[in-house]
Amino acid sequence: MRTTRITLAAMGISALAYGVWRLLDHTSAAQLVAYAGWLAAAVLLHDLVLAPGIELVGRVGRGRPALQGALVVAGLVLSVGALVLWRSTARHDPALALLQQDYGLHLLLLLGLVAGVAALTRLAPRLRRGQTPRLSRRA
Amino acid sequence: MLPRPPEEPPSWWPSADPGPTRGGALTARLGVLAGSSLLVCFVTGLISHYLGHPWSWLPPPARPAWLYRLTQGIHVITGIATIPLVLAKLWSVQHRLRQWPPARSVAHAAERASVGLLVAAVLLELVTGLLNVLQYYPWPWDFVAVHFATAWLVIGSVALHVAVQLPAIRDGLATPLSRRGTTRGLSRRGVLGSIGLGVGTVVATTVGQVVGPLAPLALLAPRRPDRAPDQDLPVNRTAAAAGVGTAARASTYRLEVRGRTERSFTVSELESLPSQRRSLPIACVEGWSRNAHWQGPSLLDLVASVGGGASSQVTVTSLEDGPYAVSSIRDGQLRGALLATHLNGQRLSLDHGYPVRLIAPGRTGEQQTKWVTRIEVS
Repeated sequence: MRTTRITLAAMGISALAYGVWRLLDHTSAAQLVAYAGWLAAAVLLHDLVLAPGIELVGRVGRGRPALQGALVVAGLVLSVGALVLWRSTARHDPALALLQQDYGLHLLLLLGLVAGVAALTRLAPRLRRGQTPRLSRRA
Repeated sequence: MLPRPPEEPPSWWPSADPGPTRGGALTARLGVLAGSSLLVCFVTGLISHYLGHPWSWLPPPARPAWLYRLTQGIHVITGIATIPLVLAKLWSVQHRLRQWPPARSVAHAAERASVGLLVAAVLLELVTGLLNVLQYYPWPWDFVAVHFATAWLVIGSVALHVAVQLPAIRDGLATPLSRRGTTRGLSRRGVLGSIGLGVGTVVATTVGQVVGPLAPLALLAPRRPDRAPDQDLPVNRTAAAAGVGTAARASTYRLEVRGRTERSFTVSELESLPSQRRSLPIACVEGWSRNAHWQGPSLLDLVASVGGGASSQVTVTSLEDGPYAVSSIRDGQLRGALLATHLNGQRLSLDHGYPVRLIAPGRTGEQQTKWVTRIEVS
């Protein structure tokens, strides 16, 4: 394990050094400052906004496994979907076939599907035990 | 030496309790998934980068014609999938942000700083990569150069992180994931399954921009190459955006071919040259691709008509200015290249590069030069 760790660390440090050199070689001082700002913003946005937000949402699902699962899936789909939805509001030439879909509707469909599957997993054990919800028993 | 912090955190310090679900078994598995995904993204990115910026001593291959389509398609889809994966991995360790004391030693402080760099570089790389796919560039640097450099920062800091955490990773992987739910909700297995479903949904709803048969599922795909209004193929830059509309349609247009001798062709002369048909994909840096049927004179025939041959180095120049104005082509790609006059059975449209565009196997979309006006053979 020691050899693996030393080899990995050496490879990592070499790759880091090459990355830093490429960066310095291809950017001006002003661009580097902006880049450092973006790096810092990425960490701060994640650690101070996104992570506490996830904790808060997580509390909603506490003690309810189906809801927790649905929140995890929905959150991960939104991590990409929200960016795509946001950019689709900008105008793009239709010839590009870029961001021409109705992403709001598509996200609603996907989130509805997630909610539906979660509701099913919640109901399935009761249905199996014959505890059918009242509505269907009447029908 | 760092000043010694008090044993107990101050009363306002948030709790570092990991909660019932987090733990080494889950983190190690998420780490393996996110790390593997980053590695695939890195390697396919390097191959794509080489195909777009080949070294002079190693000509880019012409076969398979879909090589760039494959590497860039995988690069973009794994990059998109890595966003939710990395967020899940970060969630699994985010209680450690609140650990007390914040740093036990200089080495511990350095290790935490390196994790900070890792997180920053990964998030920046993935988000700017996705924004590039969405054709949005709100930063002041050259995207390709900085994306390439940051990729090395990411893979280097991942390797370093794995080296530091290897014993914990081994322990975590050796610990079975509990199936049992806790009083507060999902089991660890349930959490991992939900994360898998979330990431799987993202992949399933975007991969259709590369894999044609999955296009009906592509609800979140930025591109729908199957729904292009112009000759059944998307363009990435219209003639209007490139500022070539007038020059491309002008009666004074000529294609100049310069080698040992020089020739000049009008549009009708180009259209009357013997033509060939080829089926070749357009594959773009943004990850989308689509196959199309092309027809036009062989580039090699034109090169031969001014004294060149299959071993010539050929430079193709567009009517447009800027970074896509010139591309060079040689070897296998040259032998397989057409100067297309027709696309999918129709005369090439203005946005697709009228009067003629270059189309050759294995090239990146931006090297398939449109609105060609000059060919130089050396």
